[in-house]
Amino acid sequence: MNGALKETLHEQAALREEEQLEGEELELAEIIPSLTFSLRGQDFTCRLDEVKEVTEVLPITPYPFQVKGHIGLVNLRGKVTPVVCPLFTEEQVFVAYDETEFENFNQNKYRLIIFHEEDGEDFAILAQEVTKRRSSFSQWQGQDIINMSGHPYKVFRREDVKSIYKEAK
Amino acid sequence: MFFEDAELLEEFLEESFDTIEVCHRALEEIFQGQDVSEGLNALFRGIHTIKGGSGMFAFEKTHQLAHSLENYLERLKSSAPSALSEEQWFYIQTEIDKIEKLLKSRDQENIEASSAPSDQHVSDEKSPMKTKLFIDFYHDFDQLFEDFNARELPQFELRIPKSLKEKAIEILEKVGCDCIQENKSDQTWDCLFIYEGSDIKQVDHILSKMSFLEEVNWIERFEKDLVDKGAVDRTPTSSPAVSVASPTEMLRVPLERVNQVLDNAWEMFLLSNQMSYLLEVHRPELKKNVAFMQAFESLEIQMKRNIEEIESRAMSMRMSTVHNIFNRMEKVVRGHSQESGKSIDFMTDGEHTELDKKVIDMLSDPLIHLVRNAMDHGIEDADTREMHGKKRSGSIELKAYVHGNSAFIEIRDDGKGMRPEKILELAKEKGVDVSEVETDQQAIELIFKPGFSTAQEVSSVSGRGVGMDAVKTSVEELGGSLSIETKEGEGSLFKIELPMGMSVIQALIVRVNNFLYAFNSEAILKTEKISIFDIKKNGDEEFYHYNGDYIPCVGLDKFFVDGDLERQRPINTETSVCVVRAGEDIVAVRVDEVLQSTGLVAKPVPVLSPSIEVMGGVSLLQSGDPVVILSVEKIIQEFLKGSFIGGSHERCA
Repeated sequence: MNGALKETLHEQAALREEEQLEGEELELAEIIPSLTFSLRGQDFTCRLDEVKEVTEVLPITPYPFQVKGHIGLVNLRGKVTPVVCPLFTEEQVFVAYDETEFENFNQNKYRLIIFHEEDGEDFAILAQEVTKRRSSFSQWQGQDIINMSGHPYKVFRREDVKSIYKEAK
Repeated sequence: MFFEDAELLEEFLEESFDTIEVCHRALEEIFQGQDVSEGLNALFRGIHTIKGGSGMFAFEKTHQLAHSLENYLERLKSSAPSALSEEQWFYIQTEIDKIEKLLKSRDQENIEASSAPSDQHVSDEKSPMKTKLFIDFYHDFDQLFEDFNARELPQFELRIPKSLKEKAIEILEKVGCDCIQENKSDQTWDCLFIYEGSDIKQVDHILSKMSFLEEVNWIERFEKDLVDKGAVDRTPTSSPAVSVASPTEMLRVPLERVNQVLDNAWEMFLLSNQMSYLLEVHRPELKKNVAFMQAFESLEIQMKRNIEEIESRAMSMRMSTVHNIFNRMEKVVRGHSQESGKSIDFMTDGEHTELDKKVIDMLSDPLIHLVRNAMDHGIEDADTREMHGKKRSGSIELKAYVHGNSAFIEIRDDGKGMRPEKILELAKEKGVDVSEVETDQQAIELIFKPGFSTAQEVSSVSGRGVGMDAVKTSVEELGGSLSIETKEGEGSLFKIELPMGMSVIQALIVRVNNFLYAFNSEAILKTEKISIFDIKKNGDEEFYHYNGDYIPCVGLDKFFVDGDLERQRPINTETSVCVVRAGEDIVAVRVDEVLQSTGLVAKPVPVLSPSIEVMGGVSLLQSGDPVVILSVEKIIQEFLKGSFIGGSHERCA
């Protein structure tokens, strides 16, 4: 068994173990499959139906300048796709990534979560510790923070990224 | 019902826009003194076709306008004029514009027909709207009868090929159809017959007279008859459609399909690049096998050549010259001259510049507004011009050209120009936010702010409620930018820059701070590996000795990297420069290393990427890694603005 396959199977097993149902006796219609992930010490969650795929980190080409919320570009099966920083949507902070970090993304087990847009404007976010979860529908109603297993997760919404970057233009 | 088919509707609209272009061309040729009769025939045919189609799709307003114009053209034709008066010419142009506008908006309610010039006494028949079935007879003739009966259509037209002309006239005239149009230029048909009566009994009579054709393909039947009599000297064909083929056959293909071919070509190009990269990586192991290497390299060259050819041909399918849109602007200017009494010389340059057809279509309205704006607010009246020592007639120049991966369209007038103080004052009066205005140029650019208009009175020409902000937004929606240069008393220049979309470019790959970037090779005059001591410093500024002169030198490493990181970098005494040109400006761009020249598929910057001016596009390298294509023009612009001096902290904030 090759290393990559072994790692994938291991991850899948880990994901299955970590899948949890928040609350008790939830009706099927009330369950929202979601992902949790972290970046630089902050924990986020996003709806799984907004996610196209999760991949291992691909080589990221930085932009000529570091710009708030933007990390760089990746080649996602022949399509040049922007990688954005989830921290930007929440706090409008500028996170600088230096050259060494670009080289070490792989070693630090980063993942790329790819969000798909109907108009073809896919984008990726950089994330660590990506885990599949389930939560109740009511938790997502207009909330910015969701409680899962007694831990607060900031909500990351695809639309927030689109609107912020489009406004910035 | 097939008339409600969305695809058919789109096809009709597409064809109508093409027909309108033909009408514009015909009108232009009449103006230039060419044969009026031929021009009127072309106009009549075009408008008649649009009338038929718009009736089919129940575009009542368009149908009425076309019908009215068709009548007018018919009367003009019958009077066999040697030339058109300005009034006649202007009326036809206005009506065509209205038809076009109606078809574009698909709104059939809001445009009224103008009165035809009084000297023509053209009566606008107020006949009830009649649905018209228009068909080339080599289509399914059974379908014609079927629809004819089902819809009780009171009128129809037939197009007859040259070979059948006499026979057809004989039969059709017997049943009361008049030949109203002869086409001398088109190879596919010669006469247009029309029956426009409202008497259904008469229609039934016509159908009964022609019913003998129902059992056989009527073209073949006619041709057989005529061939038997020796009247036709060409070989009969089994397919009617083949028999009408012309030397310049056209095929209408949805844009989506062309784009798919292009996508495939670009994908193949990237794959071939990656294949070359693999070959290069494994060259040491493979080079022992000389025969294999030679065969592989030969195939590789052939493959790349073919892919480039496919790409180039598919690209050309999407492109169209700006000739037509420039022609239209000329009419706009001429119309305005007539309305306002201002004499304006209109000049064009670069009419054969090609742009994406979709972009050209969407550019029409912004350009019309800019040209109208120049005429209305830019060009002074003749007396004022004379008083200021200018020619009595003003001038407007429309220019198109391609530079790098961008196309440019310029609208230049020699009018009164703009005064920054006045613009600023007016902006304040209008409540436009002027808090960020620090320079004269920023004051001038207030004209692009929503709510701003320099017009003291609303003019019939440019003051139509569409501001310059809408023009700027339209250009930006196309991925372009609009800029202005102006000088009081001398005139204004509006410059539209548009991305050329994806294309294969020859690029130079350079390394800056361990990251790779690409330049379009077209802009590179020279590259050289040098010592850092060959770069001369004067304060913060750097210079490079080129062709006997010192030219400004810009270090991309300083520009691209955060200052704190820059200080940690090891000192390297070797560096490279690329001497680049943008317009009149020549600048040396200092990079860490020049790596290679390669073909790249230049793609537009993804929508969710940051707005970094110097990014001209993106692409994939042979290794598969993304690369940013740097715009030489923007780098030079930024450099001349002083952005390169003192690092880039501002950009990171």
